[in-house]
Amino acid sequence: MKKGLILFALPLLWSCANLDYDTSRGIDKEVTLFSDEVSLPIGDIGPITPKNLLDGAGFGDQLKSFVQEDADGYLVMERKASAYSNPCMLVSMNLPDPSKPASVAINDYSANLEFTNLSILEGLGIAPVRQDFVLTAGNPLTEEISFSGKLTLSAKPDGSTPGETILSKEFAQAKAAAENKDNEVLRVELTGGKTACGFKLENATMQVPASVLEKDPLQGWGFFTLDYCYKAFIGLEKDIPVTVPISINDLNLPLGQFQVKEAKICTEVSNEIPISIGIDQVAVMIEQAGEDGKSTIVPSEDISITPGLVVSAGSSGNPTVTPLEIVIKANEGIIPDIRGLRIYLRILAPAGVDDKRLGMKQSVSFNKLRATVSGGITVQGL
Amino acid sequence: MKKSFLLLIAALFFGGAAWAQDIDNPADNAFLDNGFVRIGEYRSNSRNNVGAAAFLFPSGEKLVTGLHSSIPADVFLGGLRGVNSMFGQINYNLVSYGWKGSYGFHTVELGAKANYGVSVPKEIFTILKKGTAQTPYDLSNLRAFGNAYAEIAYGYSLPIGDKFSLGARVKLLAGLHSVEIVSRRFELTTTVDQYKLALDADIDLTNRSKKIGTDDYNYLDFTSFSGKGKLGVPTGAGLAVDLGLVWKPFRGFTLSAAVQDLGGILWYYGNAGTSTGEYVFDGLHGLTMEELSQDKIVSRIKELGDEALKVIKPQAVDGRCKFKAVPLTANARASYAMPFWENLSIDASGLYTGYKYCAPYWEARGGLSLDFPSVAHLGLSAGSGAYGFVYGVNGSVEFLSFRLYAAFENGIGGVIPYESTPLKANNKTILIGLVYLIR
Repeated sequence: MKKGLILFALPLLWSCANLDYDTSRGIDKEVTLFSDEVSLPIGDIGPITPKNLLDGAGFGDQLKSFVQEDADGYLVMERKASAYSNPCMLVSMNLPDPSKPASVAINDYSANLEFTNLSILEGLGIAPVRQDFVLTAGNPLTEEISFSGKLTLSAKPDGSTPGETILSKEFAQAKAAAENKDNEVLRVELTGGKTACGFKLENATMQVPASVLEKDPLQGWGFFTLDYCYKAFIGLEKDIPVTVPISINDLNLPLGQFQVKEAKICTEVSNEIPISIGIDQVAVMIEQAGEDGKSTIVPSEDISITPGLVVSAGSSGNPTVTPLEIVIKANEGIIPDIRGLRIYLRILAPAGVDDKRLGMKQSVSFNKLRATVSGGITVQGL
Repeated sequence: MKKSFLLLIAALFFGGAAWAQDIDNPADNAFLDNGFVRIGEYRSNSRNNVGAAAFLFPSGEKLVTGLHSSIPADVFLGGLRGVNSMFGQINYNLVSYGWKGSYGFHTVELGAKANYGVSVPKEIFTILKKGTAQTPYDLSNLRAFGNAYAEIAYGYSLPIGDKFSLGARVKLLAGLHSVEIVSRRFELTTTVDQYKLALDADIDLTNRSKKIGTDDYNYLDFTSFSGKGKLGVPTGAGLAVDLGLVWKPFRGFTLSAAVQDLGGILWYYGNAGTSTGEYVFDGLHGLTMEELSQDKIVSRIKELGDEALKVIKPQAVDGRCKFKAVPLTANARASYAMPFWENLSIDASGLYTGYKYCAPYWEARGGLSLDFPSVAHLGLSAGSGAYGFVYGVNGSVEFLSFRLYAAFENGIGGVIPYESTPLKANNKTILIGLVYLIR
C-alpha cells in the first residue's frame, strides 16, 4: 500500500520539472549584444593644422627652408628692403631755398624679387596665389609730408622689360604722417597672374615743408625713407602628384574577441585649409605571424574598407563641412584585432575657393566622429 | 473507491501541502465558539511576472541565454514584460491567542513580515539585445527593495445576529530593516551626437547595521563602514489595519470579504544617498593625432567615466524619513455547502495585491472543499490570475485539539530541475501552521 502511494505521487512531483531546462548540463555564456546596431559617439579629432599634416608627411622641415610664416600664420615668401634713405640735413642742403616748401626728387630704383627656390615648390604644385607689395615711407619731421611716383611690377628681375609688366601704378601726394616710420603710401594686392620677379620705382618725389631742419627733432639727423615689402603667399595650385600615407599606429583595437563583422565610422570633416583631400585607400593593419614565428604588422587582405569621398577645401574663417563615412567590413569571418590604420591621402588643388593662401593656423577637424557596429558584438562569458 | 480517495489525499500532500484555517479575514473569528492558540504560521508568496524560460532557451545539449545569437530578438524580447519583476513575501506569525469575550471575539498576535523584490524594465534587455536604435529609453522602473518588520496586532470580531459579522485588526508595525533603490527619473537618450543620461534616484538603507562611510567628495563609499551593527532594533514605526466582514444570508451560503494591511511604516533611513543630474557623453574632444593610441584613449575615457560617476554615485545626504505603504491585500470569497451533503462545498474567491514597487497582482478561483468538522478539511481550487492559470490545494487535520494546516498554490509551466525556479510567470504560495484549539 505505502509503495503504491509513493509510486503514484512521484510522477506528480517530477512532472513539474522540465528536463529541457536542466541547468546542470551547463549554460552557454556566449552573448551577442546589440545585434541590430549600436552606435557610439567617439568625439572630435583635431583641429589638425597643416604643420601636423606636413610634418606627418615628412615635408615639414623641407618647407621651412623655403617659406616663412607671417604674423597671421600664412605661409609666405618675403622680400623687404629700403628703396630710398636720405637724412634731413642733406635734403635741406640741396634745396634751393630751405625756407620754402619744395619737391625733392628721388632717384629711380629697381630690385630683383625673384625667389630661387620657388621653382622647386612649383614642382610640388605650390605657387604664389596672392602677391602683396607695400611701399612704406618714413617721415622724421614734426609736420606731414607726401610722396608721389610710379611703381612697376614685372615678371623680369629688373622690372623694366615692357612686355613683362604685370602691373604699373602711379601714386600721387600719398601722405606720410609726422614722426612715423611706417606710413603706407602704396599697397598692391595681386591674385592670380604671373609671379613678380622685379620691380621699379620711377619718377618719385617727396614734398617737404619749409624749414626742414627746424622741424626735425634730431636736428638734421632724421632720415626720410622709402621701404618696400614684397610678400608672396603660397598655396596649392596643382594637385600634389604623390599619395601621402598617414599612419595611425598603436591603435590596438581588440575587436577580434568581439566577433564584429561590420563597423562604420562616420564623421563631419570641417576643413579651412585651402586644399582638397582625397582618401584613396585605407589599410587596416593587423598582426600576422610569419613562418619564422615572428609577428609582423601587415595590411589585412580580408578587410575591405569603403573610403568616403573627397574632403572639400575651405579657407581661413570659412571652413567647408564634408560628411565622411568609412565602412570596415570583414570579407570572410570577423574583423580581427586592429593594430593601426594607414590612410593614403591625395592632396588636391582647391576648387571653387577664392582665398587659396595656405596658413599654419588653418585647421582640419573631424567632428561628430561616431562608430556604428552592425550585426552585434559577441562576448564570451558575460 | 476508498483506495483512490486515499491516493488522492496522499498525492496532494506530496505535492506540497494541505489546507487549514486561515487568518485572512478578521471577521471569520466571530462565529468561533472557543478560543485558540496559534503556535506558529509560516506563509511565503513568490510572484514573478516572467519565468526562467523567458531568459533561458534549450539549444541542443545546452541552455543558452536570450542574448545568444541563436535566439532571435523578437523571440527573446517577446517573452518579456514591460517591467519584469520578482516579488517575494514571507509572513511569519509567531504566536496568536484568541478568546471569546462577552460580545465578540478577541485576538492578539505577534509576527514578522519581510518583503523583497526587484524590477527590471524591458528596455534594458532591448538595448542589450538589439542596440540603441530606439530612443529615448525610460529605465525608471529599475528598482530593488527589501524590508522586514514586526507586527503586534489586536483584533476584534463582532457577530451581528447569526448571519453577519464584522471584524477589525489593528497592527502596530516596528520596522526592522529596509533598503530601497528607486528612481524618480532614469532616462537614456541616444542620438547621433550624444548619449544623455538623466538620473534622479535614491538609495535608502536603514542603519541599524553599520553606517556606510563617505569619500572625500561626500559620495557614499560602500567599502567603508563604521559603528556597530544593531540588527533587530526598530528603525521605523507604523500602523496598519485589517477589515473584514462575513455574511451568511441563508443556510450553507457564506460571503466574506476583507482588506489587509491598510497602512504603512515611517522609516528612518540613516544611510541615504541621492544620485541626481544629467551626464552627456558626446565622445572625446580635441583628440590630437598623437593621442590616437590605445593607452591615451583609455586614459581619456577614464576621465569621462569619472565624470559619469559623479552623476551615478549616490551623494550622501543626512538621514531621512520616508513613509512607505506595506503590501495591501484584498480578498473576497463565496462558499456554498451542498444541500444534499453539507460536507461538500463549492467555493469562489478573488484576490488582489497592490504594492508600490510591483505590478498589481490579482486572481480569481473556483474550487471544491470537503470539510469534516473536528477531523479534516480538504480544498481544491483553480482559476486564472495576472500571470495565467493558477491552482491550489489546501487541507488540515485535527488531532487531540491540535490542528495542522497547510496550503500550496502555484501556476503551471514547470520548474528548472533540482531548483524551484519557475519557468513561467508564476504565483507560488506555501502556507503551513499549527493551532491549538481551546475546547
